[in-house]
Amino acid sequence: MKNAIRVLRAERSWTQADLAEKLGVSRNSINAIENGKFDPSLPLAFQIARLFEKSIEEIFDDEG
Amino acid sequence: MTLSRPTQISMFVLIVLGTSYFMIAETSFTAQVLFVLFCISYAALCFMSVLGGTDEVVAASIRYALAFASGIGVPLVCLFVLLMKVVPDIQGWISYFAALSANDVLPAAAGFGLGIVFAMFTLVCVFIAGLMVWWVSMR
Repeated sequence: MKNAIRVLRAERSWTQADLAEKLGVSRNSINAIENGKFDPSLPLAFQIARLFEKSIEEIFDDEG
Repeated sequence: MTLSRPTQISMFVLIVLGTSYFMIAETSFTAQVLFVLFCISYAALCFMSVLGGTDEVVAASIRYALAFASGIGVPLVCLFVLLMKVVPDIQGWISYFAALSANDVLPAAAGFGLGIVFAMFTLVCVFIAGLMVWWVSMR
């Protein structure tokens, strides 16, 4: 699934490690989600959406 | 609570070396019981670490590696038993290593112990290979 995490993270000048720390996951996990290799669960997707103050649909694109 | 990868690898090496040492060296019964308790405590810690882990990608990687270990590791261990029958030299090596065991352990029991260590080692190696395959595919 495509997502805008890399762009949103770059806008805030956060590194993958910063985002990982805020979400309580490992940096490798952020890398896997960012590259679209791993689809996060709904609770984690909501957590990401809240952190970036966006809706889930604005971040994740299941049609891409 | 999450156990770091270096901790997991060093603990694995420590447990394999420790088990081998207790099989070969003359040690007190108390030391052996303490070592077994140590191994059980670590296993419990690992279990809680996996259950309590919040990182779902890591949890998925562990599930994948467990499937890898059970799907490939277990048949590999079983194949070795067949291989032992086909290649009699392997039995000779096992007998040789079993004879090196401590005096209070019968060679047959030492052979059994070696089998357990071998199975444990093979399963963990395949588990680690599974983890590596997972994380490489996630790049």
